[in-house]
Amino acid sequence: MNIVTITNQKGGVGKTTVSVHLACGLAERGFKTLLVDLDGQGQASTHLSGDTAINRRPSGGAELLFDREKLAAGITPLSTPLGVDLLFGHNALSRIDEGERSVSDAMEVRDSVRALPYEFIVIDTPPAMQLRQLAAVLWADTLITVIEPEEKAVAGWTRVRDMVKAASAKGFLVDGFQALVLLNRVDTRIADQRSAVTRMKAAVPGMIDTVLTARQAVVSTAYSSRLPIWQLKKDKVDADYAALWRDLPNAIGLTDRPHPNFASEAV
Amino acid sequence: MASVLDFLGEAMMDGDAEPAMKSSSQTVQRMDVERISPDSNQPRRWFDEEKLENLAASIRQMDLLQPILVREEAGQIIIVDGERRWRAAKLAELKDVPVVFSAQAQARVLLAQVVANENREGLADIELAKVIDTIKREYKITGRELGKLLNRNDAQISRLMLLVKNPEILQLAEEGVITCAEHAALFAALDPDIQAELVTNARENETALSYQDLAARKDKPQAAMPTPDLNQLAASDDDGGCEPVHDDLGAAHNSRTESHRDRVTEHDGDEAAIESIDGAPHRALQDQEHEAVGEENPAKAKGSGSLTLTPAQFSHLFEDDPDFLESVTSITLKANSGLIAELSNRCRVS
Repeated sequence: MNIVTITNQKGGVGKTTVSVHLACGLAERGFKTLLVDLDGQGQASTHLSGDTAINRRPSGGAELLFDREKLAAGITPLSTPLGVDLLFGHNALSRIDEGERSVSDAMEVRDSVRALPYEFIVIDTPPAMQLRQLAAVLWADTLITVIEPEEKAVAGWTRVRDMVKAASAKGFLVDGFQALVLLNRVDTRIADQRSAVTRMKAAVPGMIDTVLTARQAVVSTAYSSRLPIWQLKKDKVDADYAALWRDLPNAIGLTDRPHPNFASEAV
Repeated sequence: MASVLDFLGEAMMDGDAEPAMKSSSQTVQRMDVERISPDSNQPRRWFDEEKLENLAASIRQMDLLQPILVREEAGQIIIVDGERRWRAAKLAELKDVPVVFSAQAQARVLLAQVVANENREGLADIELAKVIDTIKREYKITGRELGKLLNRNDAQISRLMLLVKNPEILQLAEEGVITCAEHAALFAALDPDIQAELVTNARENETALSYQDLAARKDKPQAAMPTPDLNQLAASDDDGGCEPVHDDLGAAHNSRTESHRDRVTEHDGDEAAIESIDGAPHRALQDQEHEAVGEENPAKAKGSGSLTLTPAQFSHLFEDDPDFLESVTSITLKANSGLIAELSNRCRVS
């Protein structure tokens, strides 16, 4: 079991895209994978399920993870066409942050969440540092913070770092917890971004620098087609770019197992 | 547990990120809980005591992680977002809490003053445009957000901004030759020769350009110059002060079947130097109110189409969704020959 939590401190940096593609990539490698969408907008849930109104369902989604009794009785996530199981995100999740649950609740359910029958659980979080995001950090083996190469991003990342430090100091983190920073590089032709990348690399050792380019039109195409980028038709997406997304689980060290298409391409 | 610190090394251990990388508008600072007050204009919500206690319990364990969004008004620090967290923090007996000043809320306070002045004194478009320009730059907020705050649509905002963005028009507005945003939009769409003629006349007679002057010149089709369809100018326009654009204005253009145009949605205001964008077939952008234009650009049948936009419309589109450029095959710019020569030089260099 490996719980991978995806966060950021600013919307629109590609957090949801990373969550969905990691989950699909892991599922296609044969891992039993669950995506937990703690973001009330439910975009990841729509991408996986195709249901554009999924976030208006009042219950039956990600809130189940905070419910000790329901967890004990056994919960049934949705199955999706892309082979990833889903605990969907919905508007009512905000109640968790508003005091419906506490840090103690999040700690109490941790063992049950970690005992769910999955090899990977990918958790997409809302961008506010409240209980939902914190809980997802407290449950995680791997925390991935997605940032863009811009000045503000480091300030946002600093806050995630402080949260991790505080949780670590209290002994609240899972043994073997690791934190990664995924730099979703947007455009290196922009001088501003080039210098930001250089400075960030200096400030954040071990940062994974990718060119996932969240703003590419192909990301929207993938979303509206309800497919991962690498499953789009060849005329829609550059093969190298698609492979970058497809091989993300390997690139960030979640698994050594190559994607099934990886071998066939080499032949 | 050590692995956290191992992985991120020094950075996890260090204090704050270097100041150069901080953005003032995003900076989190700690502030005395008692200095902050809830917004008395907010409809009083009821706070469930039990949930508040849960929240306080979390805060006691992990501090308040998400800063409270505040604004400053008349020396007071007022909550924009996070009253519940603020109450819980007090319950948890926190002395100080993290706060972030909301640029938008701060801009709103400024704008409220502007609007109050506007109502009292009838602020001229040019003055309003200047204020908006300043606020936009200072608070890094988009025209669309400002439009919402000011209760004006995108088209009205971009039309206003034409007054300050184009130095030539700014100059004419300062002189009083152009008196409102709508006139500026009409003026900008005219052929440079006609513009010069109108300006000379106006200066000689010491009068402002009138709507009739501008519309009359506009009515004459200019050869080989694709023009946005004035028919599409929304009737929803209530800039005030200027006459509305009449429906019959578009008649001359309607007869030109080859004219590059399409539904241009509510970004309808200002037609300055004109560019057309040739590209993949595009759908109507947003506006549900207008019916589709009857005639189509013949090119569309072959799977491509073209669209003529004002600079303001183009920049709106681009601001909104830079991705669309990827599906565009070419962009034609239309401006006076000097600028074209300069731009073409610059393109050659880069």
